[in-house]
Amino acid sequence: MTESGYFTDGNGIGGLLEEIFAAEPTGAQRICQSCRAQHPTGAHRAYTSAGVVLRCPSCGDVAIRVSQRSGRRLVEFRGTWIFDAPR
Amino acid sequence: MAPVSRGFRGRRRQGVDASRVPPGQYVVDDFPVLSAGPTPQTGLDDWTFTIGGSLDEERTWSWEQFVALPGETFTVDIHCVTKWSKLGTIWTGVSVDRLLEDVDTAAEFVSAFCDGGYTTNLPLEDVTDGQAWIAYAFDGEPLEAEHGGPARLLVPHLYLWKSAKWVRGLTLLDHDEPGFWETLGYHNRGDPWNEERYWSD
Amino acid sequence: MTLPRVPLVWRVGTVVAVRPEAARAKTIVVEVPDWPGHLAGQHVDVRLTAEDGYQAERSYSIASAPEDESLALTVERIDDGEVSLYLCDELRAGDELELRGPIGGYFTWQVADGGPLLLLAGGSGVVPLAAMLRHRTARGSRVDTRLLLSAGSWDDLLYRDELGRLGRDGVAVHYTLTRGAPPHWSGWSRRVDAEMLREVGPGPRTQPRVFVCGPTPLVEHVANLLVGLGHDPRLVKTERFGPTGG
Repeated sequence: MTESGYFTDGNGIGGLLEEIFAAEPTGAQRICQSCRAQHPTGAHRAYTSAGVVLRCPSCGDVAIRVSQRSGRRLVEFRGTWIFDAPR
Repeated sequence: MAPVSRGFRGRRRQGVDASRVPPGQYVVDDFPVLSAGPTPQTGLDDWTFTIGGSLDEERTWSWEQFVALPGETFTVDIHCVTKWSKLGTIWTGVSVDRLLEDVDTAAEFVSAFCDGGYTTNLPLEDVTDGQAWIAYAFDGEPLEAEHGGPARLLVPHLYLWKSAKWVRGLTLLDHDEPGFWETLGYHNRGDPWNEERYWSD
Repeated sequence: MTLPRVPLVWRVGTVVAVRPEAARAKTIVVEVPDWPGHLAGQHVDVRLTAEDGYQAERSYSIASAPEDESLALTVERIDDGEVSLYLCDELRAGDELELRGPIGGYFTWQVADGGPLLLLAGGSGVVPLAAMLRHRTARGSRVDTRLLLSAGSWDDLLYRDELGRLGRDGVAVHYTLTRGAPPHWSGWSRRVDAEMLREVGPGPRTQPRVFVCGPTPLVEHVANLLVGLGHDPRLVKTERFGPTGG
């Protein structure tokens, strides 16, 4: 049985997605999912090994994980990110 | 294709035995420090190693008990997925075979867990038969914290992300549980000789 | 003011000059076609490619002011640093250099952001702060600005003469040398501590914009001291260069 159709897809919110991913990231604030502290992305701690891990500077919990190979990048976001509209 | 930088060669060592270098790797003489998070500072008084999960009875060793176990000093080549290889590294540690000696289990997989939250998964058959150790010394000296001390898992026939730093135990499982990097696109097994870096390799 | 949003792409620049800077650093001046401009504090990623395709990439802060004609990077020579050794010992005028940028919007300062301005750096951490000072000079700003530089020795200090002249522009420049001072040294000779920061000022009540840059351990140490002295953490911006700072 198919659902009633009360949803769109990535194409339908494409403009929103492009705005999110094109936003300058280092100034964007993030609220940590674990400790609720708020810090700009630029102040988060970055660790580079097999991939890159960005961590909350207050509690050390993971904010972003990135792995990449040629032509593909996998990104996991945790916590709440605040993006302000450009003026 | 990026332009070639005139005269740039990088820090790779030339003239090594190619048969010891898996595809896509280059040999280094230093020992790069790479990690997914801050270096844990677990004191030896608090350190324990536990084998748990799908087995008859959980086993735990304190640091004193652990280093009292018969250990081995061995020389292996290690290969990091970030493409550097280090040949002829000398370690001292306890073989995982010894730790599993009298363990009764039908498990086929292990998950290594560590201070700091890192995990990695392996088939049980990749950590037995003399293929894996819990290593606590490198080059005759106690393993430095930045390289995984007090103790790390060492599984040299697989990429080094499987050799979990700051390991605190192994959980035996009847199912495979992808770990920290495996859940982010890295290959589930990680055999450098088949260049198994990413999940679709 | 924000810069227009330009896609971050790799560009091939041509090295115009490689100049010695202090005992162990070089300033690289590079012409980059269609360079979109930058804000003081931003950096570029530099990528080197060997003939067999092997690549190495590092980030370097932009030393030049946004108002300057050419892009300049200052690179500290790290003894076993793969990229810095190449940039300092091999690279010469006429070579191509692949880079992308400008990167970073968090660690930036423009005159319009106001002051007072408190700049704290260890070693090559002074580079992005120098861009801020050069921008301040280019704009004729007289905002209250204080700079504290920590370095190993007198010979390690970057931009020594230029910073010395900034005193005339109303910039207070302080030094602390941690591995030995020259005779008749009137600056400090110890690790940065709370007492030193209190003397440099300004205090937190003036709500200075604070920028701390350099090796990670120093940045962590200084940032903690500043918060301990009462500075609002949201006004203390940090840029960590990693364990060695190179």
